[in-house]
Amino acid sequence: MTKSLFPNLGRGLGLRREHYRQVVEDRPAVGWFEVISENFMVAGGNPRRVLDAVRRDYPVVLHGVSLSIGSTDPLDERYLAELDALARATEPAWISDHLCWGTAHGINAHDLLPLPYTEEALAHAVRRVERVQERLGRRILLENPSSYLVLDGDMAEHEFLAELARRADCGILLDVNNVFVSARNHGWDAHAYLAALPAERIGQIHLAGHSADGALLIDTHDGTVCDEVWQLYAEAIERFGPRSTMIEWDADVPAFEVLERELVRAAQFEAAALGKKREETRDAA
Amino acid sequence: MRPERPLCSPRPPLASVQAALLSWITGQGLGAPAVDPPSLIHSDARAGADERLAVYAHMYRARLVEALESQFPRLARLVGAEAFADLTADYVADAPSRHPSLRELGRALPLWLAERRAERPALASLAALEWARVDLYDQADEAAMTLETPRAWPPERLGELPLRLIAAHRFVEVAGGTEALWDALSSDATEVPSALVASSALRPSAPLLVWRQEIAVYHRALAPDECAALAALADGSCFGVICERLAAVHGDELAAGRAFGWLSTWLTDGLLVQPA
Repeated sequence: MTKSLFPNLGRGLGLRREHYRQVVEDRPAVGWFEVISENFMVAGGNPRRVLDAVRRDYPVVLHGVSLSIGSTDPLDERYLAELDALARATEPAWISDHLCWGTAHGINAHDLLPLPYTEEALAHAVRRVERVQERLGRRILLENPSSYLVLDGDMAEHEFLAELARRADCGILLDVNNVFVSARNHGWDAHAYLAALPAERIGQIHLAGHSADGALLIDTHDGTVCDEVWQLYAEAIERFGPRSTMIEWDADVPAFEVLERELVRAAQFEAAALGKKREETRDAA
Repeated sequence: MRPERPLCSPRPPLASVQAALLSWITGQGLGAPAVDPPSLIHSDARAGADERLAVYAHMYRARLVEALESQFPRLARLVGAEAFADLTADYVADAPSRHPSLRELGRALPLWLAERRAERPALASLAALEWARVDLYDQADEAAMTLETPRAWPPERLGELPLRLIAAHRFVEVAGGTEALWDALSSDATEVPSALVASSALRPSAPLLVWRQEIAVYHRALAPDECAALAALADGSCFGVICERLAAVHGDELAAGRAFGWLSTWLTDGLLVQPA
């Protein structure tokens, strides 16, 4: 197993408004919290109070949705300045966003749109990641998106992501559910996808639920992780080793205890995967 | 199925691809379309290019409706789900999001309603109140003055007590009856108060004070003299100035009682900044 460039924080959860009070008052036994950067890039009030309180008790990572790293619009310097200020105030373990674009001609679709996986887009994304990392003074992680369309390109998404990470010297936030959803939607081989990723650059794993809309799977983050995604997660752990893993649940957010049970399942799949890996290593020896 | 691009035709540049896709998804015209979006997208037995694009277009609309509904829940309740979705579509067609955060999406809605739904002034007023409350929720924190400060202040110099309003406040000019409409449209309201809507259009406008204390946002109606006094405190003043203004209108005795009454209310409401 290859050591990651990023520390293993264990198992964490996305900090959601529905659980603010419970997290701050009860301080549940969760390894760390991921917060949506944009929700806390504000001057004060309850969001910043909650974040400050959570940060006193837990490691926190910042996860953005608006960097629009693949857009041909100029990088939003004001956004980067606000993100940098939040990072300085929060001291997150790392900052992540998505391999996607969401703006054109200044208009924001507030979506995570897939890039055409071309040499042109790769060179463009590399330059932008380098600029962002220089501005933030740290290596960022980019998450593989879930997608419902594929644009004409030169390479597969996993090839593009792996090459981007190498050339720009950034990390990868591996969303296993997104791999599953996109693989189903486009007929990709999810196992080949995982196999192509550079293990040392994978710093975090997302798990989530999805739903079906006709022939396509939609990344809805509104339910438990399905069996196939758990199996794919186990495969990722076996391949890459233990990684900071979290459950994303953004719609129809359930009681905190439901999320804690999902983390217990993640621990079980991780332990089983690591046990299997140890056995295989022993047999090979 | 691969996209329908003849082998000899050059691939469109990334910027053109993005402009074409975003235009298709959002319905915004972004210059002359150099690319036909469906021609860029792989179709297969699972779904065609149009169907795949439609997923994004649908999610775009749903996301913006959801965002505005979270910022303007009472407005959404007042007009109904279907009309609110139509209103959202019209609004974002005129004022598409140009900010990285959806938090800013509703900022221009009150003014847009005042201009584009002028026949229903209650909508703009209700939206103005709801937006002010949203906008104050995450304003910067400031230490509020407590009763201890004036108590500890030398009585003979009380007129010099510096008074400045916290930044987390807004004066909102709304149609009369908006406060009652806001109350009536709480989440447990069982029916839309049409009489209130109709009457609010006929009543003169009135100022509301909206402010945040700790993490809760409040609003209340303002009498014209208190509104003028508070406006004078927005950039900082002192207690003596407030007293002098009141005295000029009401005489010294009445002015003193009213000024101390206001000061007590403002302190209780956490409206004043603690002096350095």
